[in-house]
Amino acid sequence: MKSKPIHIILFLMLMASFTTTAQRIGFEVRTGDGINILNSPEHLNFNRLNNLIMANSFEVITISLNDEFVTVIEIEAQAGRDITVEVNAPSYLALSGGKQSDNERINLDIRFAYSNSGNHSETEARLSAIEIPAGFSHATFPVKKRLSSQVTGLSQSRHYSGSTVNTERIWIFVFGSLGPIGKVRMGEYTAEISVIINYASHE
Amino acid sequence: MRKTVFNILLLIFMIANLTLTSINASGQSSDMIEAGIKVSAEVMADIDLLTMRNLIFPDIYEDDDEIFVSPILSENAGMMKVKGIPNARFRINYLNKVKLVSENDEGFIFVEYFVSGFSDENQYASGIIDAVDAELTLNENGEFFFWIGAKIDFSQTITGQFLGQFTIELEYM
Repeated sequence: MKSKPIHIILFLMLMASFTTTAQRIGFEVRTGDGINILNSPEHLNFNRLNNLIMANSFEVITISLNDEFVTVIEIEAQAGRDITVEVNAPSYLALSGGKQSDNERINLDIRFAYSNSGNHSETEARLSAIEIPAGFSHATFPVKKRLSSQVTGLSQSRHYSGSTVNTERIWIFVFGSLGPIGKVRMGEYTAEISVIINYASHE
Repeated sequence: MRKTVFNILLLIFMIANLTLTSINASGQSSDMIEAGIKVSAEVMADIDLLTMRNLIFPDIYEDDDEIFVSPILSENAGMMKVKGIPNARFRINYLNKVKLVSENDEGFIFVEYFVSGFSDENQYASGIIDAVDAELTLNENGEFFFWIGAKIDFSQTITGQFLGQFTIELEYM
C-alpha cells in the first residue's frame, strides 16, 4: 500500500510535459500545407531575345508574356486560400562594378502575370495568364480560380486540424522591358528581383 | 502497477513520432516564400567609323582621260578606322560607282571607288574588299582599317570643280 502514491505523482509530471510538446507539434504540422516552389526559376536575360544589345541604339528590348524567355515560377499552394504575390524590382539595371552614374544605368520596367486556372502545363497556363497592369507590384488572388457561380468574397483563411487539404498549382510569369539603350558604357548590366509569395490575410 | 507503466511508454512513442513528422514538414514548405531572380543584359559598344585621312586626287592635266588612286599603294588613298567590339564580325556595303556633277552644272564625271582593308594599320598588306555584303572581323582591339582609292573618268567632261562624298555602311553580323 505504501508504494502506490509514488507512482501517481510520477504519472502527472509526465503528462504536464507531454501537453506542452503536443501544442507545438500541432502548429508545425499545419505548415505542411504551405507554399512550395516546384521549379528552379531561370534568370531574366535580355540577351536571349537580342544577342547584340548596342549602346547608343536607343532600342527598347521587350520580353513579353508570350516570349519563351520569360522567367517562370511554378508554385503549389493550398486550394481555397488567397495568396499575395509581391514583385520588387529596381527601375534600372546597373553596370556591374560601375558607380551607378547616368551612363551606367539602363531603364528597367518589370511586369508580371499569374495563372490560377489549375493548369498543369506551362503552355496552358500562359494562355490563361492574367497580366498585372504596369505600375503595380502586388497582386492578391485565389489559389484556385473561382467560378462565377461560386460564392464570391473572401476565401477561407483558416484551416482546421484533421481536414484534408487540397493543393493547386499556380504559375507566375516575370518579364518586362529594357531601354531605351542610350549612350551607356559597354559591359554587363544586372539587377535582382525579389518575388515574395504568401497567403493573404483578410483579418 | 503493470498497467500504469504501459500507458506511459505508449505516450512517449506517440510524441517521438509526431516530433519527427513536424521536422520533415517544416523543411519542405512555409507560409511565405521568396524567389530571387537575376536580370541581366550585356551591352556592346557601338560601332564607329572614323575618317583618318581624306582621299586626295593629284593635279589633273588636260590630256588626262582618267586618273587612278590605288587604295593599296597610293599615299593619296583615304583612310578609315572602324572601332567596335573586339573580334566581332561585321558586314560592309558601299556604293562603288557614282556620277558627280560639277558645281556649275556644266559637266560630270564618273567615279569608281576601290576599297581595301586589313585588321592592322598596314595599307600595303590590305586586300580589295567587295562593295556588297563583304564580311569582315574586327581585331582583338576592336579595330579594322580601310583605305579608299578611286578611278575617275574625265573623257566626258571639259573643266569644272567636283565635290564628292564616299559613304560606307557597317553592321554587326
